[in-house]
Amino acid sequence: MAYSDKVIDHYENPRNVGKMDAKDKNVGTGMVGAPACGDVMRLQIKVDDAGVIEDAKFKTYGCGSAIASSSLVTEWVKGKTLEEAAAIKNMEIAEELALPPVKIHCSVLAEDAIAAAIEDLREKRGEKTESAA
Amino acid sequence: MTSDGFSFSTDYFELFGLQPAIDIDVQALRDAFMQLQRQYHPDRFAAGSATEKRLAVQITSYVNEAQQVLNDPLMRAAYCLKLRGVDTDNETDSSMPADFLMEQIELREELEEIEDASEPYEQLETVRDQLQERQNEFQSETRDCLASDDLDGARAAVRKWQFMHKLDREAQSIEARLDDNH
Repeated sequence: MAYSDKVIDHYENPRNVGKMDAKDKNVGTGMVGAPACGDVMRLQIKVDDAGVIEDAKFKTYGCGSAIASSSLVTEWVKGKTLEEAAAIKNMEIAEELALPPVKIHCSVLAEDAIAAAIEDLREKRGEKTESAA
Repeated sequence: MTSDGFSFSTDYFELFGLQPAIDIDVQALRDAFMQLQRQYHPDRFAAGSATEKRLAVQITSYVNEAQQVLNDPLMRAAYCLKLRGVDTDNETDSSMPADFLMEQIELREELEEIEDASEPYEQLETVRDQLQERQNEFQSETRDCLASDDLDGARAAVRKWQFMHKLDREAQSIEARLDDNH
């Protein structure tokens, strides 16, 4: 399958690969996985006192599209509030990376990962999480 | 030759005269598969009409697909669930227990480091033993859940099993790469 230039760029030069202290109260960790392909994604965000995301890290074990999707998301969320970050939709990721239909689920994984990280952080901060999925 | 009476809606177990289950009589599957292969071999329809020939090819491919699924324990388990209306491969469901995903990441990290290790084969064997053990556990869990009609539990077990299976495949390709480099 031919990957788009953007996918290749993120795959060869992934942004923000790494790990943050999951115990830090300002760090939210989201982990998701896709049984069908065995991909696993860990995405972490760190917020400042104002609740703005100041840093994001990820580690993804999976195909190029999954790595690119999570790499892109870590770039996008920086400087955003949690509300803004939560509004990122998988189709925006898929469009930006020009993912083919069979790889759309990789962008879903990235959206789920950021949602899980935000939820983890809100729970830590004692904020109510929205019940709607 | 005739292909009358063949139905593509026959489930894979029924096709081979087996009861739908996690555990099957592998020899019975083999025998029934060979019998069906002979019965519908496209060569036997050489004198038939174009429709009959096409149908024989379609049946053969259906039989092959069915055999591949039932011959593999994991695919067979997922198929058992599918017959009971449970989809284990739903791509929009990426939620897995956090501790399970942690273990996945740790195992992945271990695999990643193996190629640079001083005793790569020994390490690989340790990891592969562990993966096999985990796969066996999830197979038993699936079996138990299905026996007690706990479909949610069975689905969760199959999904975990899929991750372990995938990791074992990765371990196998690492082994192949090690062999190439030594």
